[in-house]
Amino acid sequence: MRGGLHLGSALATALAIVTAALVIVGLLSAESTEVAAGSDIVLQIVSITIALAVLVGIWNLISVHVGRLIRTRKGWIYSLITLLSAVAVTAVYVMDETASWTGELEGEKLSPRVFEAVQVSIESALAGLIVFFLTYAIYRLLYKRFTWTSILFMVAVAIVLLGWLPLEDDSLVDLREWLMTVPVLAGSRGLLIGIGLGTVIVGIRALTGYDRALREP
Amino acid sequence: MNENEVVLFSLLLLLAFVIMMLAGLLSRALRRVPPLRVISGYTAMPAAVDASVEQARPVHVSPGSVRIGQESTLSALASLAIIYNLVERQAFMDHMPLATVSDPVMLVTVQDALRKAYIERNNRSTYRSNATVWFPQTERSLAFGAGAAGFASDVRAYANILMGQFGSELAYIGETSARHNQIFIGHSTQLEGQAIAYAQSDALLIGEELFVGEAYLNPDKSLDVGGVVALDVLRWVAVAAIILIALNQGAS
Amino acid sequence: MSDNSNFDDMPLPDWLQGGSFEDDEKAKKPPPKQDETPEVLPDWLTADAAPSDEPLDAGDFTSSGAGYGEDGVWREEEELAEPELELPSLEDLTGGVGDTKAQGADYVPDWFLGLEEQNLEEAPDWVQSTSSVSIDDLTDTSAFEAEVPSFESLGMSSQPETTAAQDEEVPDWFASRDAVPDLDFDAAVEEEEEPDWFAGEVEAEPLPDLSMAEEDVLEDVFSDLDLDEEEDIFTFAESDEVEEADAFYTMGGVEDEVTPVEEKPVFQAPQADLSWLDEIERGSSPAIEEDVEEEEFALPELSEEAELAESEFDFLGEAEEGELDFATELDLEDLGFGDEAIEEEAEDVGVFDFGFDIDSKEMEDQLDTASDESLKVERGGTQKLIKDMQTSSLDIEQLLAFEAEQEGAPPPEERGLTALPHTSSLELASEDLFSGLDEDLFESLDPPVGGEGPSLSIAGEDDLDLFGVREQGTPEPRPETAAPQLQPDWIADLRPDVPVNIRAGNLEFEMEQTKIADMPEALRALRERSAALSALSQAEQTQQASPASGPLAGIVGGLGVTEIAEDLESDFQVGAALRVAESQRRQIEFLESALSVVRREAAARREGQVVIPEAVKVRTRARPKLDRIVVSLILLALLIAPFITDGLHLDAFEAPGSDRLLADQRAVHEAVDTLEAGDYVLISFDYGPTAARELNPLAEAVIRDIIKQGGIPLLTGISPLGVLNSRSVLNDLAQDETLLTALNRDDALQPREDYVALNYIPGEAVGIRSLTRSELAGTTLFEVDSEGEETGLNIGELHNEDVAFIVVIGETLDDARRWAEQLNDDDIQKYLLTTAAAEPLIQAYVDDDLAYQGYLAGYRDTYSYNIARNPEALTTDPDSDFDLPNSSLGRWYSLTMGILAVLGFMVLGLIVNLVRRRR
Repeated sequence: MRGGLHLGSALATALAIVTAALVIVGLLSAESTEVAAGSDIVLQIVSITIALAVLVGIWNLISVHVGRLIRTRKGWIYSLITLLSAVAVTAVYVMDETASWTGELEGEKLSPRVFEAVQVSIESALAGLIVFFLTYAIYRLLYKRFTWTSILFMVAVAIVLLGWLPLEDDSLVDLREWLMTVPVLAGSRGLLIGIGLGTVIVGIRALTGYDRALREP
Repeated sequence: MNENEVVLFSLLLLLAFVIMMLAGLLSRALRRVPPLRVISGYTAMPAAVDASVEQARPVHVSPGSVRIGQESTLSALASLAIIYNLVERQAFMDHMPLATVSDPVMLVTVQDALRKAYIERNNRSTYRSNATVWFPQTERSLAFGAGAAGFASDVRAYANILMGQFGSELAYIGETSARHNQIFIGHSTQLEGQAIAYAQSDALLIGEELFVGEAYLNPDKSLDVGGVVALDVLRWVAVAAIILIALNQGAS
Repeated sequence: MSDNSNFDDMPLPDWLQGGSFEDDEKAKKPPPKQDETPEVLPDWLTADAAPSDEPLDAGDFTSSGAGYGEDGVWREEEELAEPELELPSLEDLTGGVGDTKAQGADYVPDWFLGLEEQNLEEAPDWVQSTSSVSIDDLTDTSAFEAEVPSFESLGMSSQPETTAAQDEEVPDWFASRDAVPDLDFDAAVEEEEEPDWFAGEVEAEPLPDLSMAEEDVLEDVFSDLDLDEEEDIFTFAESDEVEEADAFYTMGGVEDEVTPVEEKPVFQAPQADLSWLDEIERGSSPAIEEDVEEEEFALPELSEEAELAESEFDFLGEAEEGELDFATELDLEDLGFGDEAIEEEAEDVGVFDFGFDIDSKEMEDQLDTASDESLKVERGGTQKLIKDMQTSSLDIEQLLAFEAEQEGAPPPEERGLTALPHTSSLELASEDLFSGLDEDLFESLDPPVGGEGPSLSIAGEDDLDLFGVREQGTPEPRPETAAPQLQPDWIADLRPDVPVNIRAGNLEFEMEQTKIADMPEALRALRERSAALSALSQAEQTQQASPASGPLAGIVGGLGVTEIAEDLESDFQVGAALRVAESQRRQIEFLESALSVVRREAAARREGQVVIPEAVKVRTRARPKLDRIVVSLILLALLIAPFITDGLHLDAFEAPGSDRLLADQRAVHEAVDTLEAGDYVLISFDYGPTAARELNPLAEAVIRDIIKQGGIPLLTGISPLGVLNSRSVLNDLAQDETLLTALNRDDALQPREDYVALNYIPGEAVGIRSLTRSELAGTTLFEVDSEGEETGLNIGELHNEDVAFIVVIGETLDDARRWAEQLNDDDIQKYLLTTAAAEPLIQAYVDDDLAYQGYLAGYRDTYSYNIARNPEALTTDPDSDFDLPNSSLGRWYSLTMGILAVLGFMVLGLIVNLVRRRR
């Protein structure tokens, strides 16, 4: 479907360009100007739209897992658990909001308890597994890439970890302090600056309507 | 933003725009792409996709927790471009890749990118919207990491190519990649995820290299090549500015 | 030039060589003279004609224009070197038919046209050298006047009507046919000798039993064509009338007097020629054990008044369209010979190429005796050979030799069998055009068939008599022909544009070849060199034909299979000659599994089973990695042990006290100390459940201290999850007895009095920015809490006088950066609570007047903060029968052991990989 100018695509691109230009000008303008007010309104509309997009995600989740369940694809049992959990949590939250609990639970709100008991526990457990993954990864780092940068990486990790320990000798603490405030800070700032510059480039591409998302195939 | 910051930001935008256009036009006029330094990640990505085609196995792509409409919007656009190029490379196959996202707006955007890729290859009939899977959101969602890793394992993905915004959840996908002998190419605009990607990834991609993916994967696009040149120029301008300011402050 | 004989004797100069064979054909030839044997056929087509002993060369057929010279380089006309070979005379080329003696009075040769206008002085030397040359002589066309024979001299009663169109279309060598209405085939057969290539028949052998195992498929097939009702050239039914006369295939001339045919000539059945095939089948034994009924065939009776065929090439007679068409679509499958049987046989035999293309239908035509049920193709015999012939890469001689070797029979040449001439199926149809030519010449036209080998040619009854008439009886044995010689280059240059079949495994397709004459010199030289190199022995060729096993089994022409890769058992193979990467090994496994699926499906098809496509199953189950298991177990043990025993509570790693706080950490302590009763502290919960276990205790510690100081925390966040988490923390804290005791109160903390749980801030960075820039945004946030109740807070745009300070609780750098960047132009103090993982990264936003004035990170600072400011908050373990360490201490030392374990494994990995690299 190459070639040709699709009206819908052209209009979408034009709208994106105009809106982006308006927001940029509004952000750069003084707060009392009308352009700034207009950009604020646009941003608020975006926030509301994004909040509604959660419904799209929920629909996708349901459709994907129902599909796996119906076709009994590999891992369908987990899809069944996911769907049942989604239904249960939704029901709990609705009952909380409508004060539908009776008996001993009357007037209670169970959603925070469910959240803490399930969500926090599971996520914390998952976070705890990361230490095993990263330990094995650091153990195998030199197997993947035996380079000076990998060795430097390991040395930096060692200094940070050793400096964290409350040892009697403060030299490692000072070394860690220096490492974090000078090389790590410089490197992280450099990375962030580079990412920022990259976003500028991508922004210009989007402003000129050249971005992939705005083009038809 | 104060007035100085406004001026500096405007100059930055203008400079980037001019350099991008000039470099792109020059590249087109000379019909030559300027020599780009080798980025192992962009060398490995097409090879991984090609190998997945050989193996008749899908590839798993994910932009992570980037979100359209938030501060990671431009990172999302950059990830989207890379995802499109990689998916389009294998879009003649009769199966879909696996795409996982953590933002509902990104869900729709990635679906559209996949659709365009399959249309480009005249293989629209193969496209399925449920090839893009949404996992509950917020950044650094370990549920997303575990879910994406599980899905990639279930579909027997040959390669996991993750470019975007990731936190520690990237470790899950890297771990399952190692366990199931899947190729893992990771990148994150967040420092925590970048560190994990450095330790676990089979090919390196660091920092702003995400934003030049379109040029490396599609070097015949002059404007994308112009963007690479502009990014390099801006980088050197930033270095020069930092040095000058440091010297100025030191002198004062 | 009145003396034609002188003209004929003189060699043609270059500028007279413009006449091609086709041009000569167009010239009408005079009818045969009375005193000569009536020539229905031109001499060169009959056995009488003595072919030139000299081989023809390129000059015979090329024009004098631009062309390839002797060295193969294209030259223009003026550059073309004169051929060194002596040109044959026109008579040699045309057998007297292409004589310049035209049939019509108006005929003049091309070179003569316009001659009268030329200047004699400009004529070539040979013209001027003639004694009696003059323009008048040169322009005298009387020599070209045709001598028109009378019909009476030809024995014709009347002159057949000929049309101008016929005169133009009928080639001159065939034009004399017009005068021959009747043919005496017997006479023709008796008079004419059989052509050399047709002679030399061996003793007739019994026909093989061609009966089919099941049914007469041939009959079924041809029954659709209603052949029984139509005239069949192979099974000649008795007919009183002959509809067409094709004297072209009488294998000879005709008698002077054409008499009606009284007897039906009997033809040798074509399938009688297949005894050589049967020999192959039976083990190359000349003696065929089974008796096969010999079929007799007869030409159709010729009527007295023969009618011309519509086309001079319609030697098949007036067969209706679609019948017996050599381009038929029938194949062996239609004839009931399924691919499975053929493939199985082909597999048993191997893959051979006979070097010529012959479709199965044509072979079936040769075998065809549709009206005779006894002549049936034996399944497994001839079809096997047919399939071999179609798919093999060797010629038929090599096949026969191979068969002989397999069955211990003498090679074909000893059995008096010679190869079929190398020709395509199309050329087979026109094979009769060359009847009468010298056998050597005929063989010299065959392209080489892959090197030396026994030649297999038709001899006598073994020959495939496609279209001709065969004398009944024992034909003379045909002398053995030598193996086909490599033809001269000029013959190869003139090969017709016949597409060549390329076979690769079970794939076959045609490809147009480039004429050798059109090839560049370098390519031609390469071709010659490769032809010389490709003359391999049969044994070598057989051996190289197809590997016996492996992924290339059954595929001919491929490269040899060598074991180039070693399959590694583990990743730590040392000293291996060749290493295969893990990804390569996976690819190899995949390909092998795919090939195994293909083989199974092929085997199922051969057995006639229903093939159910099966997916390639690739083992993706991960192999357990021992080192990973060991690392995980050791790490797990070190993390759990401090909770069980205090043996790992090392004093060296005792938790630091308040005297060891850093300045950034101390700043948080001091900020809380400055709080007064009723001061609001905005606390943003910007972390999710993943960091809850690490940050909840830290948040609880700071909020506890804030409440004890009299401050009122305003809880919010940038996501709904953060707000939920904040409610969870405050719910626990609101009922904490230690806190209530410290506050000297018995009732729990009350929302909207002791703390305010606000809604979350939408839009993340944009929402944060709006707090200090938008009255509406501030009002929306602070006016109503998460329960929908009014808070009583009179806060619009957020300023430093509205809140004492802001505490941002985030787990990543982005969480820290977000508030630092969006509120960096205000005088509101900000403090950060973050994870230990983010601590090194947030340094850029700390110690900055516009960002954070201090921070606390991880469980270390939580423990130290509680020790310094919330001693009552330290966990008091319930009474237990087990002497377990304090959980708070256990947690601290578990953290310490974990760090030490990580350091240890890092060093171990470094050592192990160093050693591995050295090896």
